[in-house]
Order: sequence, then structure tokens, then C-alpha cells
Amino acid sequence: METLGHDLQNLFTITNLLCILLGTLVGMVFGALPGLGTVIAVALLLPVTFTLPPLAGILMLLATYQAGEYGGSISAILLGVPGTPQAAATVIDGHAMAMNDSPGKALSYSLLSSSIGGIFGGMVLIFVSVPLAEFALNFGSPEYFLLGVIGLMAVGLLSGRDKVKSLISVVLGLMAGTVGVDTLTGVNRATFNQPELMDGINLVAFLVGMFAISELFLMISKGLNISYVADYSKLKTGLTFREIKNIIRPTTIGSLIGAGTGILPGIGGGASCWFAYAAVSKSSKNPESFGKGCAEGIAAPESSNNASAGGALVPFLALGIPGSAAIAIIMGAFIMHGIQPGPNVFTAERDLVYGIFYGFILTTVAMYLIGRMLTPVFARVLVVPNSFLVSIVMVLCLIGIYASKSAFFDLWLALGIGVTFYFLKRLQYSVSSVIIAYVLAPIIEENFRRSLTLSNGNYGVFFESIYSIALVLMIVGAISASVYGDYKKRNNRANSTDTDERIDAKN
Amino acid sequence: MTWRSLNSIMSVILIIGGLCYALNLNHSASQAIYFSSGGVGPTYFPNILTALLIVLCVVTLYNNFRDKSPENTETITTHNLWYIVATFLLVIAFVASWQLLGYFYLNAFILITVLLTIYRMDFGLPNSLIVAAVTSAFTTGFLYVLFGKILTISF
Repeated sequence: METLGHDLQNLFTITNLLCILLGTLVGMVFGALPGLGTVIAVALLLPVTFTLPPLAGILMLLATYQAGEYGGSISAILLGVPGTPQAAATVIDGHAMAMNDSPGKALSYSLLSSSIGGIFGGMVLIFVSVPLAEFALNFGSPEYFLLGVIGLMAVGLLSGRDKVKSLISVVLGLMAGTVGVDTLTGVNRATFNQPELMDGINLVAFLVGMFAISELFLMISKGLNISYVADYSKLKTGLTFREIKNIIRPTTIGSLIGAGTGILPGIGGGASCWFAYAAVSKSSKNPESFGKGCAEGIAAPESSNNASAGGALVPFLALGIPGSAAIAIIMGAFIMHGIQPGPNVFTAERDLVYGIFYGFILTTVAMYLIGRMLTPVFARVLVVPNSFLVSIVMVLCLIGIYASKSAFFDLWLALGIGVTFYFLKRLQYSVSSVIIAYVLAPIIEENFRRSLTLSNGNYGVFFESIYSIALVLMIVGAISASVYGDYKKRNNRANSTDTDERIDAKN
Repeated sequence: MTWRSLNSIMSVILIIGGLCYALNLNHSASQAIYFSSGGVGPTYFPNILTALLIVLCVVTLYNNFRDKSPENTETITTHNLWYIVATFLLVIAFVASWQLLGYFYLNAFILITVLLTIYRMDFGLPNSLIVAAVTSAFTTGFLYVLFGKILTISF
């Protein structure tokens, strides 16, 4: 009880509360704006965390992440355009309900279920990460290397349509992570005689260039003076007790699916919202009402994407493996403060970890309260055309990069990265894989080299313990499932082409 | 240009990039041999990555060469291409001017004004220029108060 009081005292400081407030506001605005989204919001706020204590900075990013997940549903419901990929499933029933003259009800369902999902994700984080971290203390270097590979394989095989391109993205991220002075030997690696690269590629320049600058170029392509029009007159509506009761079941199912898929690296909120929508629509008493503005169709995906945020923090804190791009950026904030996530962080940075546990639930509460009060205001930002957003966000990107290290080199680097990733994104390379590989590169390389050094270069070290054998089997299983899935897909496609040809021949 | 050509060009660029990375790495870390233990020096892991990158890019090139689907042979269309090029050039001019002359806030004011004026040219030059200048003045003022006064970060 005494430690709980100590943790809460650490959490409820003016700085932490202001940071949560700022993160929530920024997350909701960026989440609501189609094209920008949560990841860009987190990347833009990353340099601000330099000036803050670790807990305040990380809570700000977590609040942005949480609020962005809800913010994405604002444009999904009002415009039928999801602000974030995680809100894609919400469009189906959310927009239909808004069209049925109830946009306020749709937003209320979304906010309430997002908040319940967020709190559920927070509880999963608290109760699962500690035992998982304790278990992970049994791991040595070979197991950590294999864990890192699992994280990369999951992301590389699950994200993006083209698996080879996703794997190339993983390799590019790992290569970027190896630039700079080697920590084990002090040797310069791929610095191209640039002293600015000796500390490695600046994380902020890399992130902002990759996510924000390239996205701004893509936004220009989509149209500069599109102004969305929606009905803003009926946004402030509450829910009755009966209406709340109706969404308990879909919210529970959504939260369970969200937290479960969040824990698995690479799946994240984008897929979990569809899993939740499918599960709830199939098990509903009124499946015919789905797609026509059904409350269950809003509650399930919304609770799921917020629960997945908490779930995604479990492998990140307990094992040091980020499961999504946003979590990888948050990992960047840890690294900038000299903290390495993983099982040891629970003892080395106990106050920080427990501050994150309880703070995560606090960010959900902040999201609910601010969402209740200010959703109509956030809905109005949808009228801001891309021309204003692109020019202002571009300047904010450049400021953020410069503020991180006061180096002009980073600005030029970010511009180059932005242009490169503009093309890579258009060619369907996976940006999430690049960033996750980039932050995992030091862990993977260090443990790989340490394992091989200890075994005098013998690769058998990765098959010695029961844990490493289990991890190797998991990797083999994931690759086999992916190859089999591709084979099945190709066969189905070939069969359908054959059938089409036969029908054409008959006709 | 078709998607097929762009895909191939990108794969070739990545292979060249990978080779440059490996050459620079092995050149600058040529003394690494003295630090290696069990054959695992500082270039060991990056060299594996380079080999992997090249193999995967060759696979992409091969797949791309075989893929003659309409989507892959379609010509690439980029809407507002000139706006993208203009934005890129203006940002380069902004960073160069800021680096060489200083005056961040003045440069930022000019960048936002010019970008917004170009983007909103459909509304007529006087209208877009006025809206751009007012928006830019407010934004730059906000940035000055936030960074210059509250966070005391000097640019």
C-alpha cells in the first residue's frame, strides 16, 4: 500500500499532468486529421521529451498514442475517412450511424468503448508484464538475439503486401542502426567520414524524415485544397444506461482481442480492429444490423484498438521488443534518456515502470474527459485544408529535427530520408519494419556478437538451451505459416483465373 | 515511367547503396581485424546484412521482371508533382538560408508564406498572398513565443 502511495505521488505531479494533457490534445488533433495520424504525432513530439524528465516525456508520448487511436475515429465517423489505419473498421458502422442523423451518439460510443479498451489494455500491461519480465530474466544473449529476430520476423512477415520488400525494409532498418561508432570496439562503421554520424543516425531526423516529411509529400499528391464538410450540429450527445448496456459484450470481446493481438509484435491495432469487428458481427444476435449504423460495430473495433496499445507495451517493457512503429518511437525516447527497456528495467527504473503502468490508465482517463468536452472542437479541425497543414507541419518538422541536436547536418539528412521514403512508401516498402529494425539493431547485434564470441564462433550456441530451441521453433513456425499462406493464396488465385478462363471460353 | 521500371530502379539503387555501405564499413573498420574475437568483429554483422540486402533486392528484381500484370506495367501518375518539387526546392532554400544567414523566424515566415501562396494559387494571387501572410505571421509568432520565450531554445 505504501509503495502504491509512493508511485501515485510520483505520478501526480504538475509536469506529468500537463504533459498528459498536451499529449492528449496533440494526439486527438493528429489522429482526427486524415493523412497525419498517431505515428507522426508521436514522432513530432519526440524532440520535446529531451527537455523533460523521463516519466513526463514518456507519458506525453503514451497519451498522444492513446488519444490518436480515438482521434482516428472522429474523421472515420464524421467523414467516412479513417484518420488512422486503426479506425478503418469503425467507418462501416460509425459513418452509417452518423449518416442516420446520430453523429454525436456514434462519437459517444467510440469514446466510451475506446476508454474501456484503454483501461483494459492498462490492466493487462500491469498484470502480464511483471511475470513476463521475471520469466525473461532466465534469458541469455542467444535468447535475446532470437527474441529480436522474432520481433523482426513478425513485423516483416505481417506488415506490407510484399513480404520480400518488408524483409528488405527490415534489413535497411538494421543497417541504419549499425551506423556510427561500434560500442564494443570503438571502430567507426559506415560514417562516410561525417563526424555527425559517429553517434549513429539521429533518431529524430530519421523518424521525422521517414514518417512526416515523406507523408507531407504524399499529402500534396492527394490534393491541397480539399476541405471536408460534415454536419457539426449534433456532436454533443450522451448515452443512456440502456445504450451503454448494449455495448458491454462487444467492448469486452474487442478489448480481449485487442490486448491479445497487441502483445504479439507486428499485428497491432490495424489488424485487431478487423478481428474484433469480425468476431462481434459473427456472434451478434442481430448480424443483419452490422453495416447499417450498429453500435456494436463501433464498440468492438474502437475498444480493440485502444486495448492493443496497452498490450503492445507488454513485450516492449518486459522484453525490450517494440510491436509497432509508435512503440518503437516511444522506445526511442527511452534510449534518448539512457534507459534500455527489458526485464532489468523493472529493478533499475522501478519508479519509471510503475509510473508508466498507472500513468497509462491516467492517459485513458484524460482521453475520456478531454474527448467528452472537446470532441466538437476536434471535429472542426477537419475543415483545415491540406495546404495549411502541409506548410505548417513542414516547419514544425524542421524545428523538431534541429531542436534535437542543433545540427544542420540532421536537417539535410532528414530531407534526403524524406525523399527516399516517399518513393519507398509508394513502392509498398514497409516503413514500420524499418523503424522497428532500427531500434532493435543494437540489441540484436550486441547479443548476436556476444553469443558467437562466447562460443568461439559456433552457431550451435543458438540451439543449446530449451528456451532458445523454443524460440527457434517459433521462428521456423512463423516462416512456415507465412510461406504456406502465400502458397495457398497463389493457388486460390490460379484456380480462380482458371475458372474465369473456362467461363470465358464457354461464353 | 511504369511501376515496373521504378521498382527495378529502386532495387538497383538499394544494391548500390548496400555496396557503398559495405565498402565504407570495411574500409573505415579495416583495423577491425585486431578487435575481432572468434571471427566476430565489428564488420561481421553489417556484412551479413549487406549480403542479405543484395540477395533480397535480386529476388525483387527477378519477381518484378516476371510480373507483367497490368498494375505493374501501368504508367505512374503523380498528382501535383510540381507542387511536390516546388516544396522540396523551397525547403532546401530555407535550410540553406537558415544555415548560412541565420534569422530563423524570418526564414520561417517567408517559407510558410511562399508555400501557402503557391498552394492556394487557385484562389487568386492577392487572396492567397494575404491569407498566407496572415497565417504565416500568426504561426511564426506562436513559434517565437513557444520556442524563443517559453522553452528558451534559440535557432
